[in-house]
Amino acid sequence: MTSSPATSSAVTIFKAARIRTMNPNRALATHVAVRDGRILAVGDATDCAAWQATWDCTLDERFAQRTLMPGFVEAHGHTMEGSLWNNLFLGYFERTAPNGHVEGGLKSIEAVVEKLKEEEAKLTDPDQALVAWGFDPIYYSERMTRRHLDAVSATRPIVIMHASLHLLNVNTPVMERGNMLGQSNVEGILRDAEGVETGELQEMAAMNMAARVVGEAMAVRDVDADTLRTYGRAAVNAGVTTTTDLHQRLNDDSLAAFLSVTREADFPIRIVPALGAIQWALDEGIARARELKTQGNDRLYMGLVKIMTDGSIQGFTGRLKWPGYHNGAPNGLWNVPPAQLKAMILAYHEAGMQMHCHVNGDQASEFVIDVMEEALTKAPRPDHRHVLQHCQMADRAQFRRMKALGLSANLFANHIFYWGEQHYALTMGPDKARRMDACGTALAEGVQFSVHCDVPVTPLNPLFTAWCAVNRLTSEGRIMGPEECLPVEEALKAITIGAAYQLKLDHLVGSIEVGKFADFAVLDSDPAEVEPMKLREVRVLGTISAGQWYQSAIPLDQAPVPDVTIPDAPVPA
Amino acid sequence: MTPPLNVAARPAPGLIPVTVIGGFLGSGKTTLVNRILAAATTRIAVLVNDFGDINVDAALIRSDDGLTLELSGGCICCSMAEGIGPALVAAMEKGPDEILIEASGVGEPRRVAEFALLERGLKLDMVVTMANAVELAAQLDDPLIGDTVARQFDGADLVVLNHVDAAGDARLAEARAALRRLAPGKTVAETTRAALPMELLAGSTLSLLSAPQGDPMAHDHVFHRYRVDTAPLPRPALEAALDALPADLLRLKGWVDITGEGPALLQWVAGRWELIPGSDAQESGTHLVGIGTQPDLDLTGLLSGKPLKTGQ
Ligand SMILES: [Zn+2]
Ligand SMILES: [Zn+2]
Repeated sequence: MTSSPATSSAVTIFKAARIRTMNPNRALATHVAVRDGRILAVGDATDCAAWQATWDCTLDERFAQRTLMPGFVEAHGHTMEGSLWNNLFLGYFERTAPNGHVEGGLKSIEAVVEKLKEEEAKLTDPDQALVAWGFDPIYYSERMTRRHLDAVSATRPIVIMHASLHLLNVNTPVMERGNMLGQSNVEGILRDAEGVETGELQEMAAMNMAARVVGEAMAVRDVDADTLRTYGRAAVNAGVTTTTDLHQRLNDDSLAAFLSVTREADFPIRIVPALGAIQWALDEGIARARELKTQGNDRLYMGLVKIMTDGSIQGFTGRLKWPGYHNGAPNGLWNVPPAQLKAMILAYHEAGMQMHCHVNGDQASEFVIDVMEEALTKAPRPDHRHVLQHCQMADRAQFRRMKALGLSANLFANHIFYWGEQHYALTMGPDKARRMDACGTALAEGVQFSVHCDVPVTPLNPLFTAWCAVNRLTSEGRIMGPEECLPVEEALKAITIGAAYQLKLDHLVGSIEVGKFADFAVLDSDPAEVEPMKLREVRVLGTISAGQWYQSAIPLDQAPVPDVTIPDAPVPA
Repeated sequence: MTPPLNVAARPAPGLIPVTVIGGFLGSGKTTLVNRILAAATTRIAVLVNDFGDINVDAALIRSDDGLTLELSGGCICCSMAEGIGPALVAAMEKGPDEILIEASGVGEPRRVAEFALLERGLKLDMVVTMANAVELAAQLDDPLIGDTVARQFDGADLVVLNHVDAAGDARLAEARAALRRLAPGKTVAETTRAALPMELLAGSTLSLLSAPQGDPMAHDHVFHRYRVDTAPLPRPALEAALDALPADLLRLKGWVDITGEGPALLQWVAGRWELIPGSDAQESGTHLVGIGTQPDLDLTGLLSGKPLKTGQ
């Protein structure tokens, strides 16, 4: 040990009831030694005695009754979560705010209106707009209109963003100030059977006008330091130590925010932003991506490129192959003409960038697979690690091609719980809904994969995401496609080393191994040992990041969210 | 040939006319934008999509007068920050006489037009959707883009079938047939290199009024001009007539003498119209000029309350 750098500073040994390392060479341990924020050694009580004889050690026994796992890695999330909570959350299911409070869980339109009234009463400035988010009309039998919102306030502007982010509800003052009443030619202003404006707005023109009316409260800003710090707190609550911000313009201001916050001593996560290729002209975007690759630090990893292709399935904007949407809705939207997308993917591939491609519908995933095949034929590149993000409708044939091309899949497992019923009845129909987010197929066909939440679209909570992939339970208790259920061990791999691989950080995080960062999730029990249906109930006490402890803001006795009612006998569908 | 009408070349007070030019990649949107800019005598702000590389013409648009604004595509969140809404606000701050918006290759022009309908300082002038005569039939058959291309014709006031010189007879016939199906009853102008008569598009310059009247234009005889010189018209009958004018009349403009009220400036574009009371008229009576595709449109009759002939 004489010349080892390991002799340079003090060693902390964390003792745990169990350490599930996710390193197959030593799957289980009880002690882990940390120096300078990195893992120095992994072992048991006997090993620990030897370490103590060799090094200047402190034994930390705070977690002696707990389970340690590698800090979870969320390979598809957005820092927007860190600013959305400045507004009122109106979700049907409960959700934990970064401060640890449970919000939402509003099971009727009346409950939504009551919540709004409560919040309205707290506002003192009569002109201040009331902005809320996370409202999801699909769970209610009644449609929200501006009459409901006018009852909350007939003078103060009120804007409610839907969970899909593709629709808004507003009250009459917003419609008046935004010049939206009597605009019979604007289809984005929805009307009832009598032709009266309901206060529901869709499409950019009307939504943009509503945002202008409320001003500051809905202004879209670049990521800033406060947003990043709040996102960090949300991550601690969920046991996450490495996560993404998977679509950013990454201009100088936002880069400066990333660089400065990630250098703060108590910033608890490692963050991986992706350059939104669609926001740059092609040559400028490639130059920017190259420049970004030279930036970063131990907590900031640059160089990922995000390619947006289609929309979302629950918004009927995902691009589908024949026979299209189950309810006959027209096919979805491309964000950019496919020919331009192709040019973009080929160019970023040739420039040596790693791409994360948003593909929801099966036409979008097939298109990207086609283009990747061309890119990899023209310019073969070992270990490119391009990832198909969401990849919700890929079938077995597409997974086989992904395997052949070395493409990874990051599957949107949370969709099964939140929108599975809607997919079953409306978007996909029973047959295709059963094979959505096909983790089982990915595993069987040998495609490298992870599972994700796309926070803020659904909550950041990898153990819940793993529960979704393992149980495939919808909000109504239907097991949607039991053949696609993942074994628990595979789901745990997906939220640790599997996600780390997709970010090209598997040499640094994702397992508890000597030399990697000392990033751990501290849990009240071993997720591999609980009943699979109880995976979501495993509690996160907090995280250790680079050897430093961060306590979760969620009280241990708080019931797990979302508020899932598990039927006695779930029905396989 | 009658002398030009003495209507001042000015827009309606305060409202900036907006023209939306849509169409799939390669249909000639940028060429048309450049033609309009080259012919412009007024200050035109242009919102263009910026994806570099493929759209080589985009470089031609770039000007240094600050009137060119680039749109970036993208999902809802980036569109809020960098999309048409904020770009329109920025364009209005520059006080242009007109605004041109080039929709993205996958954009739906009628959705883009909604911005102009909602913005208080703007008025929608015309929605133009362009099609590539060489490619249209193949595009419509392509499962990746067929539905996207087809949707772009919804809500168009004018369809421009461009590149007719390169299409050949068979493809041109196919493209024409496709447009009859996708844009029934709409005016289709066939062009080469997007060479449209500029007075069709100019929202504020009133160049329509200064051009020779009454002659069919030297443009494949597609467009015809009309002149109305008539007595004062009673408001109720006039308004009913303006609502009922045929879709192949694209633009109608000039002074209307309203019975008992006096003169008002009429601006009628593809069914949308406004009457702005004013007294700048130097002659009494109603004097209007129009442009459309019907060779023998009896505008005077229609405005006086004569019903449309059947079959029109
Ligand atoms: Zn996405
Ligand atoms: Zn996302």
